[in-house]
Amino acid sequence: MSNPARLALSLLILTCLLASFQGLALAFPSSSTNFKLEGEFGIFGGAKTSTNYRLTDTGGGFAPGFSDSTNYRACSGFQCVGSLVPSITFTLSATTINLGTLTTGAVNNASHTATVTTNLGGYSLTVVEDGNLRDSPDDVNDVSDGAVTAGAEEYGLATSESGQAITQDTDCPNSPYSASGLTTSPQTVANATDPTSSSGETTTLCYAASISGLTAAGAYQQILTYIATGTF
Amino acid sequence: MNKVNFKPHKFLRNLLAAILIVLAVFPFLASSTQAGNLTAMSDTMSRLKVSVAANHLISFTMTAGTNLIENETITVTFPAAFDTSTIDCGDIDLMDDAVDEDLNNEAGGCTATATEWGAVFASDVLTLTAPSGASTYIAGSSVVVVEIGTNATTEGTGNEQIVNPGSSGSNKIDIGGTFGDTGSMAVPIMTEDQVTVSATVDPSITSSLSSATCALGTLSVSAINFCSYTNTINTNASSGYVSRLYEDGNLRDGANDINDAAGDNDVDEGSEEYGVSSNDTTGSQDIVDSTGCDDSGTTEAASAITGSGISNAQSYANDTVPVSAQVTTVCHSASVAGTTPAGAYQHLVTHITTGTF
Repeated sequence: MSNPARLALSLLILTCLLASFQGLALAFPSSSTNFKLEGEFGIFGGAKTSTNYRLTDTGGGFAPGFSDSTNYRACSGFQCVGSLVPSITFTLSATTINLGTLTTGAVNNASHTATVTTNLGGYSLTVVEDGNLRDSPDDVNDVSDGAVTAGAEEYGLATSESGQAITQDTDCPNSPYSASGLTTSPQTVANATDPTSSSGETTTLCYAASISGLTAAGAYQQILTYIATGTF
Repeated sequence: MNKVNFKPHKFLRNLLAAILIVLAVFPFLASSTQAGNLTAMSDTMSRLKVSVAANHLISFTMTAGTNLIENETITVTFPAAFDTSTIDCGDIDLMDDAVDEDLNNEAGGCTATATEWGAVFASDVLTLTAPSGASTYIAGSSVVVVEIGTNATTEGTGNEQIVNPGSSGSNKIDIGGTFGDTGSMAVPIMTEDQVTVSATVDPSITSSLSSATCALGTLSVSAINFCSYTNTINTNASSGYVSRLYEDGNLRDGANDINDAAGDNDVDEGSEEYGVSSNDTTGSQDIVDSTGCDDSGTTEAASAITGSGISNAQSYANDTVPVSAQVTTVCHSASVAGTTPAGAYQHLVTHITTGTF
């Protein structure tokens, strides 16, 4: 083989090697004016979309699917291309919370859960109130000392998660009734920096209230808006 | 048959030359197609409920090697299920590392100029176009924030919002454009994103008189006699309460009675007068205020009890907010003249307290 031929062969081999490594980064995603190819691994396969269709296909694969345990999460096979599409879902177990008839002799409480599922990133879950728990012009005071106490006019929210703007209470129905006052600015009740498990991450949100003898009679109400934001 | 004359040192030389050539050329080939992956991408919405209007606060971090220069674009592509049809450039803000960029306004046509960014929403794609004047407008590693909706407050407040899809689920939003970096994120749309919290406080009011009798003793022309008791109120009535009293007739003994205190609202020693006062000095009541209720002078503030029956009851204490153990002292006082007939005088005074809830 001549020297130019050897040089050409070496160039070809190196270019192919580098191109193959580069291809690992460039293979996902690609697009043109009319389509976007979410994955193009293997012989063929991936999720293809246009204005009128959406298609996911695969051409081969070995032991595909999700698996996880306490310490790892794995995704194998061509269809895991689908998992590379960012996704987040959020559900509330209840949209009404009735604290019942408040008295000076007890702390009333109630709870629901919020479940967030993400696949490629973490999330933050916040709560915003539309105003105090109120029967205008009267309201129930926000708790300000970290816990709702029987006989004191106090109302607040606790979360089962630690490190949030809203205080943590992992023993919701029981004393002490840890709680934070709610505000019209977003306050975090849960967050994660990594993707959740496939079944999602569930947070328990616990509401507690009590009144004093000076709390005006009435039918009190407030609306809380929960917002889950994924970070990808 | 030709003999192959393999020379290792020449092969290594050629291989080294090939490596140098490829390493020199390949980065240019690669850079022509490689797009950076955006990081820390998020879209914080004001509402997640299906079919409601919401603000969007989109944030992402550009790669270190990407500089956004003149005429380059950033695109934000929403799924078709979102209704973006009402959004215009007045509803959009763009920030680079928390500093507002200058966007052309509606009057200016919304498109990019030499000094202002363009912001155009079409077919669910927001295209932000850098000014045409030569410059680097967003440097690598910058945190870019795009606000869409009424949360856009730079150079006027936005007045339209994007309407959420009509069905729940995850919705992917793509970021791209000619500036080079790309990325995707998702937002959750749900059937209901709000929780209504309710509680009830039952109405309550109590009134307690400290005594059901009030003996003025033996009246004389040289003294003013007194007796008193208290009424203690507890109520959570949001507008407070009012306490009233009425009599079943004058202080009397058969056909004889003690005259009611005159219009001067006091009982004078040596005059045949009888009346009542209270120590509730706040508010305005029918019964005159007095903090004395003792025989310290020759006159004592007192009002005649004129009402007979609930419809004519006279107020003597009140408040406008819930109260706890609010005590009012009611003071009866009387004196007689030399012509007042002897006798055992008596009448019934009924107290009524009413809460305003």
